[in-house]
Amino acid sequence: MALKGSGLGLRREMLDDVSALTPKDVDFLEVAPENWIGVGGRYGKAFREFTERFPFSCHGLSLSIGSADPLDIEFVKAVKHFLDVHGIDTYSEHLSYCSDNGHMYDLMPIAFSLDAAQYVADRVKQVQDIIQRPLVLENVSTYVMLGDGMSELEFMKEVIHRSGCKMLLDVNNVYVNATNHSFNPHEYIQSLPSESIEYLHIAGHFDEAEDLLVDTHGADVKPKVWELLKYAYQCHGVLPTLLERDFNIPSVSDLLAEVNLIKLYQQEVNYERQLA
Amino acid sequence: MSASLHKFKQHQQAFSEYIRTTTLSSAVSNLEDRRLKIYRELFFNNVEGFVSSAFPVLNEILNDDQWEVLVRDFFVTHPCDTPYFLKISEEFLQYLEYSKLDFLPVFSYQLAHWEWMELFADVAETGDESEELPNITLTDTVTTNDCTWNVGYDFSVHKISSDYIPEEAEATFLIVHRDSDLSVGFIEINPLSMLLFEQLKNNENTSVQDLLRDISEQQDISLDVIMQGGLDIIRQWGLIGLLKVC
Repeated sequence: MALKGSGLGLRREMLDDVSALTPKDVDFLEVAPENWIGVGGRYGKAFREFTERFPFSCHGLSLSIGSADPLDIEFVKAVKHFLDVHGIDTYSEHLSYCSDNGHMYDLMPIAFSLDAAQYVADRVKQVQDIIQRPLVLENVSTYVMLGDGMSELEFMKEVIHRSGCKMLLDVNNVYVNATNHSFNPHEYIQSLPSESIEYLHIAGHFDEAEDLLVDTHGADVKPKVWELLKYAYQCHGVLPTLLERDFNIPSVSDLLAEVNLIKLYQQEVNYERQLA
Repeated sequence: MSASLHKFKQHQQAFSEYIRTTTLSSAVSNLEDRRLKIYRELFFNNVEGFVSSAFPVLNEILNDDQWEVLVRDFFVTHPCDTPYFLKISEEFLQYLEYSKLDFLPVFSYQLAHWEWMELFADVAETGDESEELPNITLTDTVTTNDCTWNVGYDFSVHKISSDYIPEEAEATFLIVHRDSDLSVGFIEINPLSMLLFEQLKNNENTSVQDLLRDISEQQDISLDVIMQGGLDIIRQWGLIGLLKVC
């Protein structure tokens, strides 16, 4: 089932609080498959109850598509099985790497170059062959630039072009990186191929310094990021959009207030487009 | 592989190495320290968070400096194979088996194993949860439920806290069980009960009385004592949901 409307990232620590949510509150939920594959007991039971009531997407953390380590084929097969068992069509991951001689459980920046783009694209195709779905890759927040001077935007477009993958456009990450690496976030968003964008993410960040933001998923979405979300809709159409909140998780009503803002921007831009 | 492809991998590997060890190399020395700091703190705090939430007691009995040295040593020296976040605890256990840090108490691995065991029982994807099985008789044939696990340690790991550090070894046997309400509990048992539980776990078609008779012969204990004591224990275990009919 294709995603639509507004979504919320589901975490284990939220389970009790969000158990009363209905599809009227939020259209879809998202989990990291690495936190739920092979999990039984009370968490496994709660997860099955949610998947029976809501459409789901999966947003992976451990694929490490840009790593020098070999792809973990057994893991990719396990993800495919998990997606099939729970009837989940969308599997997104990060245009990043998180392992180097073993997993490091967080995201590191790929050293952008044409060779790296080809290397990643070849691995994307391998993954897509196994999962029998397009791989959807997210632009990630970075705090340093490795590589030979190729820009993130060029790299993203190269990988999409060479692999046929889809993109998960994380609007907050565009804002964070535009600040951290001094580029124009509007130009970045506007230059992306509309037909490749599968869905959007939005989240809060932390202002470490005027020119250095950290993607924490631990605060409310900033006004400038909301503006950028609206701009993304204006450029590429109103796409399904999910709120991520991983730390300092507030009450359900606060989470829903932000989900409702997504809905509001979606309605607003739909209306604008109808008028135009 | 082209030279440039090799270069991008080398660059990334140097960066990862820096995040683990925080030792500057020429490959990262041109990067601003305040930006590198974000990565070194983000990664270390993340791993530290996983380890401290899985092993709260081990964390509690070590001081802050020791804990930081321990987690850093794990992060630097142990390549984690698992892509699954809940299994980072298993990677940490593997690391503890060979860790050479001299401040670790002698029971550290066993304590950590016990903490892991409780987590494992909570999330294991296994068959039946424990259900109550009353009125077991000598002629019944019973075995253990899938959601029960027996473990033995050289120290009373389940009692350890900052208020109780065992001075001496003390053989300790525990059964962990996940019940039909999906909550996890445990009971402490004696060595003979451990033997009985092991026999029940492997049991396919031996009745309770034959099984107890075998133990009586193996252990050279009077049949009457074993029959009565053993049946009492088996009945108690049935009532708390550890057993099922074969």
